[in-house]
Amino acid sequence: MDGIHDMGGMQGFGRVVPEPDEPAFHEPWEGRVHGVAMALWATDIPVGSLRREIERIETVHYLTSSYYEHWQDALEANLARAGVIGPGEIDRWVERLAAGEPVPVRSNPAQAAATAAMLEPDEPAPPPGNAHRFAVGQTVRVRRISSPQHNRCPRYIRGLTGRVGRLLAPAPLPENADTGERAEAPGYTVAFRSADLWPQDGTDHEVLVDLWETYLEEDG
Amino acid sequence: MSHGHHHERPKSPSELRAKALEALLVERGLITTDAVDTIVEQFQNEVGPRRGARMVARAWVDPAYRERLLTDATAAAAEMGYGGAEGERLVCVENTPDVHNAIVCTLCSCYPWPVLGVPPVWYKSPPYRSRMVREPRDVLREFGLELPAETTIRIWDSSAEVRYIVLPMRPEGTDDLDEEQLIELVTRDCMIGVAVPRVAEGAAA
Repeated sequence: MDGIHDMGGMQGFGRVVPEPDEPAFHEPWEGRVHGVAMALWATDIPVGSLRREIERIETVHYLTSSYYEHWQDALEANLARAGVIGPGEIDRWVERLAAGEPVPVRSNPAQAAATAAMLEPDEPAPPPGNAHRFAVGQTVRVRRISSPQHNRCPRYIRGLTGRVGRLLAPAPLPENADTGERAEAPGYTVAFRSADLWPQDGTDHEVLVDLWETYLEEDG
Repeated sequence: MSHGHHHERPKSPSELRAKALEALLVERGLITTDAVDTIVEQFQNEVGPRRGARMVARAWVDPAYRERLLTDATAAAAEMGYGGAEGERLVCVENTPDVHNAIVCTLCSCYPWPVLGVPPVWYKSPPYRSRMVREPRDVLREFGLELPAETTIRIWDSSAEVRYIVLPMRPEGTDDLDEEQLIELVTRDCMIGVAVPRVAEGAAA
């Protein structure tokens, strides 16, 4: 989807504003949203990745709401889509909380341990394998992706050529979030020259983008 | 950690909505309070840039570790006990006198949680995500980092499954510092690539 989330190379957003001594979470509720998401991911509940729904947040709202507000919106959307929560259920809890009712507390050490394990080393990183169509050093062209589906092919490289740097292990396609399939494809780190991406800027740096093979074609 | 915040009156609509979601899921028995608590506590107290700094300092003093870090950063993190979500495929990119690296995620805010923690707000912000791939020298200058014109700048857009961490160069004048002292020089921003380690004036031997 060609949405506002795809920001690489856009102009007009102003300066980067760092915050000294920034905490992990600015307000307790932000940490709770992060924790709720990971607690769900540690279960069999089909909540899935949040990116597809975050990209579907209406543009003006996307730009005027925060990172964890995006997470909250996407969590609600995914849980509704999966049939885990029904219409109005969250609204009713908003009313109960506003009336002074506390958030219920429930403990289960096994579930807490399973959630904590998400932040522990797991399996070794998968090797790249030998299913790659393109080779290191080869010049490839990025397809002119124009799909309404969730994808991870940034606009600023589409139609342009780069050089394959590293081969990446096959991974599930982002489009699975729309298709419901479990398709996989190998990936590549592709190096682009800024002079090719933005010829009138007069810059000379490299941008390296990780791309699924389905986004690439042979040059020429 | 105290659970006092469960009993305070919610303030903003966002806070109210977040609490409503947790309340609903806990009430239904789908998640537990302690599962959420453990993640908050981990990111507040344990999973942060101090971990990446330990890896960098180790790589500075131990050539064999440096080699493992550059060959397979996922394994090099795991041997220090670090790994998991958003760090399943780590790649470490090394700064040299000729090459300076920095990381960004233009499509969302991908970041190597197990070694750097959760990303700062500026990393998730439209200015950084839009500009870092296009005008990195200007962005780095705003961070106070002026690189020589001949330095090659490489910007890594973490658009798929790999999460990147930068191995900065060990500053000159630190030969007498041990690993523990070196850790103090390695800030989060050095491992994102918007800063380089500095030795405080008068601190170097």
